[in-house]
Amino acid sequence: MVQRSFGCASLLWLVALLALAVLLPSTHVSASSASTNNWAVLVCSSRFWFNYRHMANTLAMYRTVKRLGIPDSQIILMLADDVACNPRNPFAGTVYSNKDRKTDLYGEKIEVDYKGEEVNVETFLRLLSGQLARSSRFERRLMTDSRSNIFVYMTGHGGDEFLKFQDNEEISAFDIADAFGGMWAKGRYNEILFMVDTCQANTLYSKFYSPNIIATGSSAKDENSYSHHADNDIGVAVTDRYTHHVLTVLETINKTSQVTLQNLFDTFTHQIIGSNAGVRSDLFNRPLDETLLTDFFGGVSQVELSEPLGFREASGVKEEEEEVRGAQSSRRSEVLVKRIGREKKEPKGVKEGGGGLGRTALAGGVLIALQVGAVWVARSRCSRVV
Amino acid sequence: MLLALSLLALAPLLVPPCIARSQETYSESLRLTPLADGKVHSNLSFSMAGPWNDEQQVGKSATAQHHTHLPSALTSLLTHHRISSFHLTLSSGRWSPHWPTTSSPASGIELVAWLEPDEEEDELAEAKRWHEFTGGLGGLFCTGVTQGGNEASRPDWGYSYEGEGAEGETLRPYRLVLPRLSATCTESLTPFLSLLPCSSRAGLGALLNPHRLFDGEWTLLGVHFEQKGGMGEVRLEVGSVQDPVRRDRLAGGLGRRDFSLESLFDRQLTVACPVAETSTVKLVVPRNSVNAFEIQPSDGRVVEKEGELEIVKWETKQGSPTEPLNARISWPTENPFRYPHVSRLPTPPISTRRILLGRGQERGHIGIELINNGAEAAEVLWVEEWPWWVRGFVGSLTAEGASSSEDSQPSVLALDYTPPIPRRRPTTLQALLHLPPRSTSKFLLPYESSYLWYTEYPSDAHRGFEVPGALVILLNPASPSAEEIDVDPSHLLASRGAKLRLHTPSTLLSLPTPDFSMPYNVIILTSTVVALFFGSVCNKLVRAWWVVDLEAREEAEKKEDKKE
Repeated sequence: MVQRSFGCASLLWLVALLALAVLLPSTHVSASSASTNNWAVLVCSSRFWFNYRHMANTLAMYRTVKRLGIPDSQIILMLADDVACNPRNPFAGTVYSNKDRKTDLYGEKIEVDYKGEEVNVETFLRLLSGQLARSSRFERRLMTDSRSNIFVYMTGHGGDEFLKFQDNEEISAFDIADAFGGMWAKGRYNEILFMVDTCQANTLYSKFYSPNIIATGSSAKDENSYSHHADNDIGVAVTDRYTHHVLTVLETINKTSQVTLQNLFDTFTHQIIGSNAGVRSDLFNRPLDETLLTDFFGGVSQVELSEPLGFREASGVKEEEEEVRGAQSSRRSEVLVKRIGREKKEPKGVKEGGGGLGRTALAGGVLIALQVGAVWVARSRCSRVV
Repeated sequence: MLLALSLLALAPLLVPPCIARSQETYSESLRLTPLADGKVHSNLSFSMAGPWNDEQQVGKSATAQHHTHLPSALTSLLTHHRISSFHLTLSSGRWSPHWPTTSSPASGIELVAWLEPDEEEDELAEAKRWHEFTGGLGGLFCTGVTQGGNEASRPDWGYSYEGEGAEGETLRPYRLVLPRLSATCTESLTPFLSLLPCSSRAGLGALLNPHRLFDGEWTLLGVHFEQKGGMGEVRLEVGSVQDPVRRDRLAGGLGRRDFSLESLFDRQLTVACPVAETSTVKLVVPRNSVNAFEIQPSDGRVVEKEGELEIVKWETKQGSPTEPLNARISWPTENPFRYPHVSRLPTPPISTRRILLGRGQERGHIGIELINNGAEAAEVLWVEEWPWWVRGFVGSLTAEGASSSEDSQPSVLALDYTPPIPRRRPTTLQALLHLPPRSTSKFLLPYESSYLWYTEYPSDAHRGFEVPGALVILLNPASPSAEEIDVDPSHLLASRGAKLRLHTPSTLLSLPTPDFSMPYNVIILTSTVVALFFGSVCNKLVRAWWVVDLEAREEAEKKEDKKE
């Protein structure tokens, strides 16, 4: 009898939970919804002058994402060593990733967020999880939310399931996977593009488990990743094959480009890269041939909609949509406007946030009532039995 | 709600009219000094001053923090952490003792700050405020000022508070020194430029070309903040020593020492900064030059006397708008430049160098050598800050002089030593030294270096650990009327003033460094031993060895077969 009463109570619990699940809106937005801000974390993890090419790789990526519209405040650049002002550098204050030395990657203005000894495993993991010291400034923080697309680029020396930092310590594939898992749990990203150029790079993303991550690496397990060419005046190799190739593709696109990730991955061949570049897309919910490169490499155009004076309610939304479409041709703004339009078309007078709150309160009420009922049922049965 | 609304309505009345605009000033200057060894020292100075309210309740209101010229990125940091005054210098390269100066910066990063005293705050809370300030400053200048294991020292002998008020005398500075191979690069210049009212678009700021600045023999970026008479002054300075002779040789020339603004910075002054009150380019006329030289352009220049020096000055704001200003000096009859004999190079009043003696990695002697080139005895303040893992034995401090007579021996007049607390407080040594005329003196003390924790070793630990350089201050001669005997050494600098401030370059010290592969070797060896032990025990317990008589067994089997 006691058993049956517990069964009854658990049935009520189940009903309560079901009610909650139905009434509460889902915490995560569906994969098809767009991001509202794009971030880039660019890490060069190896120090010393002879690793010039890793600094050059990272800086080339920095220049590319900056060119495509991600502002400096949303780029976290980590360089494990200073090659630009290294006494060995014959061209002071410059870094080149090509022997033609046409583009100075260090330029006249640059913001390096972490450099030298600060670039270590602990800082990198703290940056991802957001657990930095209180005194660290906003420029050095990854202030992402559940609407952020993050491009993570790492380069250095690595091996099977690890990447060396500062020639001193390693980050393992499990560490990165757990960091991303934690970020997903805390709603710190919408989608991640993880790109890594190191030896046996593909092993580094093999442990990922959280959703919406697309990963690509330069070489398969037991394969080396090779440098592209050397500059005889600088005296060291200046870029790596895989990064050089990716940058060559990215050079051809601009902010409004419709080139997709699939287009990029289709160009990876053993002949060009010298190793088997890998792609992992099983965690990613969108088809690759519909995911634009600019979803990660480009900046998001923020469209702010305000009602002009004398705005008419009836036809307002449509007008606004067309107006913005004319001004901003990017796909992002269209998605944004559509979403805002949908919210506005809702016939209820209640605002979106208020509706959610009401539903939560209702669900809570139902839950409490059911719980009280369950306790009452259980108690009455128990007393009867005893 | 009503109250808030009424406050909102009153808000425009409460805001005082904008007074900051008229009172804030900005001036900039560039000073070019041709040095005797053919190099050129260029020093750019940008100073911004404006009304500064240090009272806390005023500091928190929005209007009191409104500035037109003072950079808000910096002022918000200062008001938030309540900083009275600070100096931040980042330098790369080495300052030669033959280049005349009155103050050479520490190599690497040096931050000295005075925090506003707060009655309600205990020491821990103040230290926390200092930590947060260093973190903010490090983020602003991309320098990585904050690094674990580097704690601040509080040397009050070598730094005197420049502000006003009686409380200034009781303030003790916080000082953080981080020796670096190269502390300046483009990433620290970028935020620096954003603090200037005209950035790099106009005025002297336009000359700040990172590719030339960081190609020199020595580079300095400095940020200073001081309060005087209700005014806050932010002074930014950029220093650089370049070698035109080398540049000429690289370009295929014979090695001439001529230089111009364009040859030094690869840019010319085309647009003057409109908000600058004064914007001057000064060129120090070289003395003792055997060959004739000429200074161009001649229009708009003024010749001034500054002590013994002659200075040619141009006002960039008065320059003709059509023609860019390109100040230049050339030696037409000199080809190529001949490096002068060392004896003809100028000698400073005192020169110093770091001494590090000893064998092995644990013990040794550390100290400085001081050469007094003057004809009179000198009094010198010596300030050292060593990381906590260098423990000096101050009781064994020795002063050695080259001279034999008794009265011309160097001596230590006063001493202050703060022993280190591991991982919390560095070693600080402050001393007042007496140097006889024309003498070479050595001050040495034994030290012992500690072992670090395994995880405390930085990468590349075998390169050695950088020990910051010593600070040496030559005091002005005491005035005969003043009674010097009772003066606290910490007030000596404020009362007598410094004639010369020198920093020795940082040195590398080898610490006892373990073989980092050792733990893995130990783990592998231990596991092997354990595996062997347990394996053999297991074998002993589970298996047994005996001789099997095969014939007997076969016979037994045959018997069994027959039975079946």
